[in-house]
Amino acid sequence: MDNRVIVLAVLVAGLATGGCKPSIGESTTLHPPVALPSDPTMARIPLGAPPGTPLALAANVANPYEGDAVAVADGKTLFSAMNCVYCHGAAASGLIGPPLNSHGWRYGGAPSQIYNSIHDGRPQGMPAWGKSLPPDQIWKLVAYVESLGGALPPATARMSGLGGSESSTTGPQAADEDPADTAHQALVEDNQNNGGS
Amino acid sequence: MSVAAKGLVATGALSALSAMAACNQPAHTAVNPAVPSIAQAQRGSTGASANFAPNDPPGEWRRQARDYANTRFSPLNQITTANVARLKIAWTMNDSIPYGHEGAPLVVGDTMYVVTPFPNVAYAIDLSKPGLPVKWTYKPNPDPVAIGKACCDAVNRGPTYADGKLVYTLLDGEAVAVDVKTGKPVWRTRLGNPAIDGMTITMSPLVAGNVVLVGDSGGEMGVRGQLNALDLNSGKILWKAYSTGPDADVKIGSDFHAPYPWLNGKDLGVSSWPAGGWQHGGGTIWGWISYDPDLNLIYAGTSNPSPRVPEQRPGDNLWSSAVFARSPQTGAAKWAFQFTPHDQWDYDGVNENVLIDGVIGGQTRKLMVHLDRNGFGYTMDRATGQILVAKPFAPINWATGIDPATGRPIVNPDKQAKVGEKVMDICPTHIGSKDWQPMAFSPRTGLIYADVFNICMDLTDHKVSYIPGTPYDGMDLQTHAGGHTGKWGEFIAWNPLTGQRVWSLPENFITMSGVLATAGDVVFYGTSDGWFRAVDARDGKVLWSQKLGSGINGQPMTYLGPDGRQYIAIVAGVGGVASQVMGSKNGFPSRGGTLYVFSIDGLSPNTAVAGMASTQGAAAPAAPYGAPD
Repeated sequence: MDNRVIVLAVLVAGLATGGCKPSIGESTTLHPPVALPSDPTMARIPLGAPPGTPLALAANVANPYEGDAVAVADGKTLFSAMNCVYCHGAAASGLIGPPLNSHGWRYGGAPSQIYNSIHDGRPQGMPAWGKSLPPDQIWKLVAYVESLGGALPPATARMSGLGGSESSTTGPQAADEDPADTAHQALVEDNQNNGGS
Repeated sequence: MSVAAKGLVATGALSALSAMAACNQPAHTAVNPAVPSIAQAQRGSTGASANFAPNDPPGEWRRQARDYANTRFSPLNQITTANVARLKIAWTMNDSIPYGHEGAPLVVGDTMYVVTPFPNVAYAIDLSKPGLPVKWTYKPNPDPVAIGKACCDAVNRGPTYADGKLVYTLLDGEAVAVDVKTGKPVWRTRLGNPAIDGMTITMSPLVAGNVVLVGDSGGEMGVRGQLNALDLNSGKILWKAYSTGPDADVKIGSDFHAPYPWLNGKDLGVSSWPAGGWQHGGGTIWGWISYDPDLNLIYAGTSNPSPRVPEQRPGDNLWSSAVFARSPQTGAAKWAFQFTPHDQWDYDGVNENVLIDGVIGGQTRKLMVHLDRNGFGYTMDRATGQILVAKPFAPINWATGIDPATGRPIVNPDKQAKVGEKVMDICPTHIGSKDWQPMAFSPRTGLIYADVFNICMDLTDHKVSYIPGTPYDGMDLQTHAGGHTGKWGEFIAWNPLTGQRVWSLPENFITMSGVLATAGDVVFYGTSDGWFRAVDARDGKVLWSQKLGSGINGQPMTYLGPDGRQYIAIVAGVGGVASQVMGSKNGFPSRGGTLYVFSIDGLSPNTAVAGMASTQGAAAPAAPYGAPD
């Protein structure tokens, strides 16, 4: 099924119900358009550069919604509407997926790196939302994640996951590894929502 | 018919737990006035028995439940109540995998077979040689995308053996059969695509004749539950029966007759849902399957309905939170029963159905014992589905009893889930009064032995949208220990003919292991904080306890080694729901899987070569193994 159809349905539903929370549909009309980095720019951002190495310039791309409280609220609404909340947990402290409120990033914690994780998906089940969400909505999700306190400033962007070795390259971190070698992954405890299948 | 449990559960149990000192031996409570239906300790037997088909060699363990009836009873009796206190570790094996280990090893001939959680590696271990060398390792390399689709950790519930093949499921929606001689796959069949549909598989298949029965997981992802029958020799799909939708899909036909009128009707799997809701309605089959070769019926339970928010799916939501009796050859349903109509609390009906025979109402009946997540212990006529006994086996408050005319629970209006409103202290919590962790039956006492929970929840629902491959969920909840003990876990003996507790052992941490019963009148279970215990089957006295390297979600089993000695095996390696519910509590152990094998005084082919001067010693002929017991 085409994910975009569902997203549109959600957007329409948001407009139609018009609740007291800022809906996804309304959010783009509340703000003047912002200049978004182009797709080619984002695609040049390395996945988790080794600690201590100079950054690729592109990783410094800042969130165009940096410090925008309304965008953070929109992002939080999207976080629920796209079912992110039931994977990453009610407080984004981890459930099926990893926590988003700590500094233990598998694929980099700079805003641009978080953007790419949302846009491209990741090998252990993270869907590629770039197929169904427009860039401004992905940046709002990034703004919400940044508001949780675990994101890293753009200028310090580097791979901060526990599995990062000093000699690692900028290639995808988990995809090339033996799947049995999972000890480095942040495993999630004390999240109570799931039912046991 | 049942005891009203409302009001038994007090609040403030969390503080009670934190105030409790860690204790190695659980306090034995033969009588607890706060718990319904506790009887005297069992001295004789209830008279219940079972058919132990296929009657494998006594020293072997060829499927997770050992027999088709799912008793998890071994006829071995070298280890008894008199000598079990001498159990010591004989040998161990580590697999380094951090996910929940929820299966038992198998032993066939002189080989042990172990399957790990994701990435679902299979090991064959030669029990006949010193050092217990690995004969072969099979790595199926399932797609890691499944890790992020499995609701409750990348667990696996173990393999089954049939006709020279080790048959098991892979987390990424596949089933595989491995040739036990070569370690090479004979066939591998894909049944789901987790990246697209969110379907994973964690259950252990059951082989009935030439038919491999495989269910699915994903009741939290809007997966439509299905039971697949595969040909044992080729892996080809013979039939597929869905848990929701039109009768043709569910395989309800002219043979079908449910035990109560409300369960008989055309296409109830469609009409008990809002328009189209059945298409993503859950009812996945991720628990255990039992098999009665005489009635030629298999029994398989179905999960919670999707989404978990009940307001979005008015109706009974058939056939979620239910059980089916089906023909293994055709899949045709003979009868079905829904334990929790319109489930509002995540009370899956997947728990194992143990097939026993016993006298109820003056008649010897073919029975099925099922301790449901909803807290009621059901004893049913397995030929018809009629309920003969239904009583709470743990304190509950979501319902006050079961209506004997319909089999339907009498729901407490104060504990119904609501969108946007926090409902406090619903008992049991989402994982029920007992989850998938399988119980055991001993024909020597006629009792059922089970790990149960004493956990309640505060629940807030939120509306959700269906997006393929993402959770279709909506439950936001916090758990706490219930009041009757203030402790999260409990090990109980249950009289299945009367629906009464016989004795119980409260545990500080959630009890989520399988149970083993033996002809030595010893029963074994583990706790999620890592205690492995041996208990007298008659009075619940703890005879032996050993703290292991991680919490225990695995299932104990026993076998006769090539040296003629009885061993007890268990895999420790906590994870799954146990870690989701209790993982951050003080004293909860770390993850990582280790197989532990015990014997009297720790003797084994491994200890026989102790003191060897070099690694070459492992290949030397062993001295006669150990001393006589």
